[in-house]
Amino acid sequence: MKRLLPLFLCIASAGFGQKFENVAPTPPMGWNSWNTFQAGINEALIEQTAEAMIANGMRDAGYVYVNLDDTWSAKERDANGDLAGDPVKFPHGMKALGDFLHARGFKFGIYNCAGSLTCAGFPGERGHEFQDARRYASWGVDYLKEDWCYTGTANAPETYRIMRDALREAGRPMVLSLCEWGQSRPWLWGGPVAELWRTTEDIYPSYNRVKQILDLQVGLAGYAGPGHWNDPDMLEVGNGSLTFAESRAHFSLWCMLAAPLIAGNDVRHMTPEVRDILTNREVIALDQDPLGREGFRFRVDSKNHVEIWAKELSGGEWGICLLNNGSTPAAYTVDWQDITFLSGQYYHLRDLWAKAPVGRTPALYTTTIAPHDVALLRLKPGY
Amino acid sequence: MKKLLCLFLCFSIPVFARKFDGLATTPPMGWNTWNTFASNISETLVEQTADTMVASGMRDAGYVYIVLDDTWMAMKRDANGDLVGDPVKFPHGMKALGDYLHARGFKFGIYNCAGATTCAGFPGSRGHEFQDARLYASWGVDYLKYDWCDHGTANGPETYRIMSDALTAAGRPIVFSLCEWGQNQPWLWAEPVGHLWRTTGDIYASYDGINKWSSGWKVNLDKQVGLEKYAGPGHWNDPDMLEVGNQGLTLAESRAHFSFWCLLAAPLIAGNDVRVMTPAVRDILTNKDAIAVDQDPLGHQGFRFLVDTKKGVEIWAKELSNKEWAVCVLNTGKAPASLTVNWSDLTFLDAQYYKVRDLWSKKDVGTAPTPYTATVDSHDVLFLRLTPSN
Repeated sequence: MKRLLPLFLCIASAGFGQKFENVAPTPPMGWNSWNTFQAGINEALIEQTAEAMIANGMRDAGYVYVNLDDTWSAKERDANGDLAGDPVKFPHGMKALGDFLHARGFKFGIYNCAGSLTCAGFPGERGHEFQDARRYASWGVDYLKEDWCYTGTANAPETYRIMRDALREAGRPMVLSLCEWGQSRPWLWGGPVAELWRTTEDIYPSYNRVKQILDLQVGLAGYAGPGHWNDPDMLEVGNGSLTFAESRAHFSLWCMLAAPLIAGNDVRHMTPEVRDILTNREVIALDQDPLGREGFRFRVDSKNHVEIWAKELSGGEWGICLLNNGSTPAAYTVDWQDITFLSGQYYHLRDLWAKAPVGRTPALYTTTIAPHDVALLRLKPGY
Repeated sequence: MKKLLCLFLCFSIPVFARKFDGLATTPPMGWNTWNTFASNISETLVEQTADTMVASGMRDAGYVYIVLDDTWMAMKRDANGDLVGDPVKFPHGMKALGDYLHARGFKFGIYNCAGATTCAGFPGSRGHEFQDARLYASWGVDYLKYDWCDHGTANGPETYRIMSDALTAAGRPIVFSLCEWGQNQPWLWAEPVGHLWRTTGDIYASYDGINKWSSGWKVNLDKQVGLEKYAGPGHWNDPDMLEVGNQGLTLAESRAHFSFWCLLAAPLIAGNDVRVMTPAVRDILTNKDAIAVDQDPLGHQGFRFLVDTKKGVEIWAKELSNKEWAVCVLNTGKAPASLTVNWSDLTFLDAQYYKVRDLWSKKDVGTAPTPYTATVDSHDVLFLRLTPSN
């Protein structure tokens, strides 16, 4: 019917909205329940986690989003079609949890899925987008991770635009985090839709998986910037089989990527070493640098199993990360004349894990890097 | 996240519902506001139309769905995101209109669109499907026509499945009429989704005119060739609503249009102003013999058997229950012509003898295989029903 009409009207009517501006000028930081707890979540866990994040300095280091992942909701919508929290896991309801978090300086994140069901089989968003967005807004939600299970043959850009428009209409500024696993190359269309988009399938706590995901970021740096970030998935720092060195390398490289820093460990029981990784403010500063450039891989030295990654920072500074991808310690020397993207001759070098100055260019920099570890440097112009 | 989970669960959980079964076992019949009234609709118009359809015999002839097309609603949803009827056009609300229709033996049809806005720029159902379906059910809606404007890059089958699932979840049996203009070949995928699907762009009141977005009925008819195998009880090809009686068609063209739509097992949704139609137009729309061809319970769609452009003749045929057949012979020429049907040429006929009845003259006109000859006006038809006889 009426194909004549839209010619006149579609141009005149604002059919599609815009995302909220300025809700993620730097990559979002926080914590998410999935990587450690999966379906084993509840109000007590979230509240304890929030309390721990205050006590251990994470909140003040910038981890302000506390995000529930899948399995928070009841298995069925109510008679009005509204979502409700699982009444056993969250006996005081979702609004009360949001209030708890807000009262402690956190922001409240929640999860759903663009399909008819979430990945774990809970009610999905499909066909309920505007109703659910209104619901989230009424609970004080600040961040929505939107997954991609049970989407049938749906078109990802169009489907995610529905949720973008629904959030906009609900009126509460929210970060929209797309989780379609990079299948539809969201970096090409996600900028006007969302604040971040997953670029790969899921991470899990093994060095090889972390490195696979890292490799898949090559070439995507140009698509990230303030308010629109590539998301190589949440952090596994402190989890699984990752060694201390591997956790530190993982964290360093995620910061180099200007990745969202969403911790995924049990922060109530982490070791001081893991805490020190997650709260290293100089490393976090690389991630949160206001210029918002994503780092790029500059060189792969396959003979020495060393990769060099670089990230431009504001003020003409640079982050440089040397990764030893090998299984033995690597003695490595950087000849700054080879680092062709540096426009100046003189930079002070600072090792962000040793938290100490380590010389200046153009003098050669030599270090030994443990297997699967990094040397992480910040270069500041000056004599 | 959690693709791994999906690998285990996605196959074990029934994700998509099925449409309501047992609806539209024969092609839906009714009336729709659009072809004549476009946006000039109101409670008064719809109630007068319903009353007229009782008086004129249309309701009793089978036209029970009264369908509001685009522009019935207010320009904004309410604070809960619910649709509301235009308060000026429908001062007593949509539920009251549904009650009015139901009390008079009609069913209540309504319109929306899969996009962000309807074709006329009113709020679309995109992202509101379940909420809207629940509201329609609460109003007593029995039929939903669902358009395709402003859909962006959305995937047709997937998008229509959302509304189908929403109607199922709302729990009230509602005929679901897909109107995506045949763009995604709905005959290939819509059977589990809806009860009828448009196969073409819009019709307008012309024999074979072609506009940018709409065409005369003969153009739409030609596009049905090959689609007959996709129709059947509960799932119908929809070559668009009727223009019978509308300015732009001669009486012969209206009669031929109606005959073919009956032969196609098409939904018969009248689109004229039934309050002021002439007796001749009424007689077309209420010809029970013609309607019986459309509504035959076998549910086979007719097919084109012969095109003779030199003679200006087309022959179409539709298999009916009990080995009966309907045959439509069209004079495509610009002048009256004497047309002869040589029954022995119609190779699909497998009985030796048929009683032949002319459904417009309402007379028995002989016995096949004796050839039948009659004079047919330009763009008019012979509409014949064949009953096996000894």
